[in-house]
Amino acid sequence: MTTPFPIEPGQSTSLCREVLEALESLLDNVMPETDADLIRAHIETCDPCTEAADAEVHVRELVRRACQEKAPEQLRIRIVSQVIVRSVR
Amino acid sequence: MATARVALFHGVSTLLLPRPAAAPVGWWAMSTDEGSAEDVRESETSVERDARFEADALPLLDQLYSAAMRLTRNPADAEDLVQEAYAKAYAAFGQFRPGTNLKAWLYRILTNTYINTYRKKQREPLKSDAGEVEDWEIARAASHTSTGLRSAEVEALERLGDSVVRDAMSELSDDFRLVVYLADVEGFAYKEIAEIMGTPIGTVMSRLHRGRAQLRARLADHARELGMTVPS
Repeated sequence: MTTPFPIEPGQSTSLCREVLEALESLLDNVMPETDADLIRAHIETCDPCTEAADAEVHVRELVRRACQEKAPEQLRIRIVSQVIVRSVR
Repeated sequence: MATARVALFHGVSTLLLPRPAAAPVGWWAMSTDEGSAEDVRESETSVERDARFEADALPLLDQLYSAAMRLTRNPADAEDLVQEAYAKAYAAFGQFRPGTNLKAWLYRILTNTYINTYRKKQREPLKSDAGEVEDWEIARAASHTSTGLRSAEVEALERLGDSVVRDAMSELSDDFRLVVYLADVEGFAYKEIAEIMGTPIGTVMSRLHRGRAQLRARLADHARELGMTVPS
């Protein structure tokens, strides 16, 4: 089972949990700026939350890159020729 | 190490500036009378319109093909889907208001074409038991954080390459896969995704949250299966 991000002794676990739950909204740019500033401020001073935020940023980047493919040249040619054929009137 | 990590997030956080408001999708803009800018459709010839289609719509082919690959999960169907979508877009191009969100408009056509044509006759079997699996995955992924992946797992995934991520994506249900693709690969806002998929924003947000959780659980599984275990 995946373990939670490590919480250091003395750290506010409920605050970290709230912050991590807010991470999705933060990274989706749907959080009001004042809230976003507070969340970022916590993350930047909290190593486990920094690690979690970095991991999430990194996963999104991984997914983005992995799903980018190049269309086959023949497909491009077929689609362009659809347009060209129709413009010859 | 901590400084480097802070720098990464810091660097990203300065990029997380408020987005500019998305331009309306083509056929939404159709019904609003914006009046001011001259509509090039009124003065262009059909040859000019074809040239405009080629110049504006063709450059999005790679992106639409990538989306079609995620939707259909096989190259033959992806090519057919994209070709059909472009044919429909070309036929309807006169209805697209220039200057509005062409990418979202094309994605809407692609999505509708997929639902109407390919979803019914898939060559690949549909993911079964999606409902049963997702609750368990979500419970696990959400048990402690909203994401569930640790940096060591992410680093392992980085080394494993694109096919691991694509395999994990293909294990999601259609709706989850599409919404995650639109948000995390294409960067569409919730409102744009809602317009593309023809669903309310609340549904988009819910599917996105659950889809991402399920994807991360799958990615963790793959990382583990391929031997890059992180001690729990």
